[in-house]
Amino acid sequence: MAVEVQLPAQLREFVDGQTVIEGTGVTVGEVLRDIVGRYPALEEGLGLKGNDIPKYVNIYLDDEDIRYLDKFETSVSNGSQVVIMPAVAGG
Amino acid sequence: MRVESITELIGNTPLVGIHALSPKPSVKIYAKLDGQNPTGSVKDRVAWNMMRKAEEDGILRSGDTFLEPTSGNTGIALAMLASLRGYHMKAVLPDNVSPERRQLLEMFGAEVIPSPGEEGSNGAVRMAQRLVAKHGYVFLNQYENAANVDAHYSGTGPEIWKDCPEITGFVAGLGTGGTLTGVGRYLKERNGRIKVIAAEPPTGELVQGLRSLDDGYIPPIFDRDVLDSKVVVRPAPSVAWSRRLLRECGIFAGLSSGAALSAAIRYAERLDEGVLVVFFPDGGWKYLSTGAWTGDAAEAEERLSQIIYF
Repeated sequence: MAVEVQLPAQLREFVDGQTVIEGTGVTVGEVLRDIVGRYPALEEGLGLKGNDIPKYVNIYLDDEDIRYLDKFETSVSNGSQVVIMPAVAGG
Repeated sequence: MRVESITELIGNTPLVGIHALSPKPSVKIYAKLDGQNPTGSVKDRVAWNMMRKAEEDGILRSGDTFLEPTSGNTGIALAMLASLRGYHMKAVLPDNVSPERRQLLEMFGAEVIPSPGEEGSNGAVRMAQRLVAKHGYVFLNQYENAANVDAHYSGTGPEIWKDCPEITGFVAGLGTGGTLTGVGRYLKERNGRIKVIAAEPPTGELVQGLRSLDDGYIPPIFDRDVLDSKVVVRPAPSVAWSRRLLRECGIFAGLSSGAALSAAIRYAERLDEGVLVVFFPDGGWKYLSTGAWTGDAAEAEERLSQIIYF
């Protein structure tokens, strides 16, 4: 499954300035691991450790936060879009 | 209705059916119009509760100066109450909020301290923490103050439950997390089957000034576990649903209300039946300058992508 992953400004330095990268896999976790395999520095930039979603990172699959789906095990489909954003407050 | 002070008009906001916008007749949708509070937003509840608690605890005394980081609404509410109660207020405000938010803060007597817009509310929080540490201002801090959640747990939540005990889902925007945490907890204690859904704006391009993802911010009062789902809603659907609200329901609500409604519609499409309450935190007045209702939608969406409207 080929999936587009959109990265925030804070992560672009780890991927040669790209804003969107394509990854492959059947879950969000696999897609991210595929990309991290090609850009190893991204792992630290994202703060990936084990199976936890980093605290200050929101990862959306087709606009839904994967924390409330199946986390990294959330299944993707062809043409899905993954978006990574920093957690930001309002008020 | 006759009252002796504007503060008596805080809360007890109406719940209005907007079923015409539901994707199916078996799903009813009600809007909680918190823009009908005295300064025009839900934050009157939070500001009033935080201020009374601080007064009770002896943290805030007449003549004191307090400082608050805000993207607008909390600051506006606090500024109004500060002028009533004899306090001086300083508001740390990101410089990319709508100009109306800044105007209202100044109208109610707050001193505005701009923070870098590209750091979003996160930058305002950090600047406020630095200024408080340096100058010793009283710091109510809506992001850490339990009185924020309590305003919703003891006010907004019970109001919704009283007016709509058949509720199956509650949808609101995520800012401090106070509304979602307080209302969500209250409703789930009454009926554990009620789902709580959050809508949030896209933040990626708006906070380019944050150096790394570790500069992200989760308000300590926000209980992530109270949510069943969280969706990001972009400017285009936020504008589109705000316009439909105006034209089809006669409701002039702010753009984060449009975002919450968009999330509610998305959720409603998956249900066979249900009764949803969508929370509208403010009216549209403070966003007229974005052209969201009056101009070209694409231009309004572009403007929204540059400003904080949650």
